[in-house]
Amino acid sequence: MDLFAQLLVNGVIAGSLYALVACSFGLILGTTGTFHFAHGVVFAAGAYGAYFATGRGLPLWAAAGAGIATAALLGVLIEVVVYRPLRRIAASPLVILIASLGTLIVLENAIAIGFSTDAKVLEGFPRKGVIVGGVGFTTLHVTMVAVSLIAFASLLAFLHWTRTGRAIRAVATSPEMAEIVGIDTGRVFLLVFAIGSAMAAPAAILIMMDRGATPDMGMEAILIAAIAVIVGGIGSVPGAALGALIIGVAQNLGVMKIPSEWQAAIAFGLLLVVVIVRPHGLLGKKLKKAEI
Amino acid sequence: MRRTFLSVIALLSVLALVALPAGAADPKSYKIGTILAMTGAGAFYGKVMSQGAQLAMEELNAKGGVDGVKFELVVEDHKSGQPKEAVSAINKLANIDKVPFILTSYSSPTLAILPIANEHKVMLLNGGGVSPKLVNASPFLFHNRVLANYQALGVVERAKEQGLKKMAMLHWNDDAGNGVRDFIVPIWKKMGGTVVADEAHPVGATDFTTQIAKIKQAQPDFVAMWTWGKDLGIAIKQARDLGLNVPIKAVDYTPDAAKIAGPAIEGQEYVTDYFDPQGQDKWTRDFAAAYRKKYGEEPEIYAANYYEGVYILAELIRVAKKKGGDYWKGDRLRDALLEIRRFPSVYGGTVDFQEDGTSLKRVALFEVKDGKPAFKRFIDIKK
Repeated sequence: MDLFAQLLVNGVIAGSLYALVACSFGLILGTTGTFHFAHGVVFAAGAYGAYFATGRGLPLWAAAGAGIATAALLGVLIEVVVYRPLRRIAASPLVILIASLGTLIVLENAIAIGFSTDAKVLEGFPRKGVIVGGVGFTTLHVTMVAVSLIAFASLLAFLHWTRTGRAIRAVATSPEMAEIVGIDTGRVFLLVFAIGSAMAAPAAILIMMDRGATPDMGMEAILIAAIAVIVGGIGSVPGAALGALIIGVAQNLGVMKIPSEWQAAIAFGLLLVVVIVRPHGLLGKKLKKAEI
Repeated sequence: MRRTFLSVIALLSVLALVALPAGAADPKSYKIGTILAMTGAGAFYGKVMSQGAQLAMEELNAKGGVDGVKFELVVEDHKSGQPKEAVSAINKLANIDKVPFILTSYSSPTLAILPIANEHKVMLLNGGGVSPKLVNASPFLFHNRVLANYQALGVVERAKEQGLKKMAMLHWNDDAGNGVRDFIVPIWKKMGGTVVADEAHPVGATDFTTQIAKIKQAQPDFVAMWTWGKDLGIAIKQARDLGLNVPIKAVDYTPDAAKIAGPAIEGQEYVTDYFDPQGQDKWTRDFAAAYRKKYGEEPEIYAANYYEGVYILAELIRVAKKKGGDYWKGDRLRDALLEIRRFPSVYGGTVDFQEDGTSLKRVALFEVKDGKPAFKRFIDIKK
């Protein structure tokens, strides 16, 4: 029982970190249609931005803010420099995907040149181990879950209750229609990249506090996020969060009886099952049949 | 008739010139290949290993290399243990750079490049990888690192001495981690111990909470971690976070891991190659001083091993060259090594190469105090 409870808690903690990356990745994919692989390096840039800021003597909370700003800025920059010109010449989704992957690799190595490739740790978080009824976790883990919940709730509130949020949803539903009613899709895209990038950064910063970070940290994060978005249903932010949580919990509970090296297989197995049984994902809209 | 005779003489002398051992033909430079973890989760290793080799090369070159021929370093990346990256690296090194000697690292990449090294007769010297599978793996493969089976032996002997019975293992899911497990489990059982948990994780993992939860459930007396680099630091930290408070024993320590683990690593015991940068041996002191000056940090065993590797190569070149002929070849260097066998070690003492490719060097039990390794005692591995 202890083990079950511990694994469940571990799963929720892992899932809430996955959810931050998955929701932000899903928001960008759902609104702009860009399979934004380079989101992985934006994520890493958040952590390294914060690391740079603490190195300049900023307190931890201010450094975290600097990290989030760095990520937002980089996300917008990638949209303006890479994706927008490609969309203008009507590049195919495959071309954009490859450009994104290229951007990820180049920027990841740029971070490695700037900060070297050994692990960097953000110090200074009042970290304490807590054991409740045989289940162990830390204050940092609690912060992870809380940050994830707050970010998720504020994103949903923003999308549903503000004018700009509704404009984003309009563009996600139909960019052409949105333009017809006078929404500047270019600006909405920029905004979505800024919000999405800012939302991914806290996960990276928290990971850097917890277990240290290396420049290649984004690759794994973005793979899990992509799986979560597909499992949850492309175009649905709650779907992405749900997908992330399911993956986190399944990865942990799934290995209760089998060796733990099967964790990665569980995530991909889940993806396979969902793609076969429910190709539009758990909360996604049903795909339309081709019409003429 | 006389003309025929003369032309035969002429032909013979031309042949003689061609066939004469091209003893004078030194290469333009001695190009050393390296295949290290320059990027990825183990990038710390790649950094310190290349720094160690670089420093040795610069020192040797400053003294004119070997008889005026200087060394050159070609650094390739196996991205922290990916065999296919190592294979493309050795293909480049063997076919384009045409190096006869490579400093390699990690177990799985080293095992992966063996067929190509054998085919091109490239001598390999490994100062990092520790899998027992590396023993006798190729006539061209040698190790100036003590393989982990000796170190793991030290760990279980220490556990027995402390009266610990139930062992849990957390290990790399690769040739190094699985190799140590397969080697040590029968020995531990023969010593009267039991294994209550056996959890693997991928190389470079960052979340060990699942494995640790399962290990905690099994209620071991101690945890043996056959895991290296920053993975070890994260695992120790997360173990303590989740309230797993039994002793943890390992076969590695890196400043990288200590930085990540923070106070959680205090008191951690581990058995590994003995290298103490504060050591009393003259060569150790000179090396440590030069390393600190150049890189502004303390050298550890990995920097020391690759530094030493370049010096071993220089000695091999000297010996092979004396024998004349085209000595800048992997098989000639290998023959020289098997002839000399014993080299001075930068740890102090010597490094003694064995027929099976392994070497005997000083191995010791350490304990982490104030985040730094504190020497406890030597482990006798020569029995």
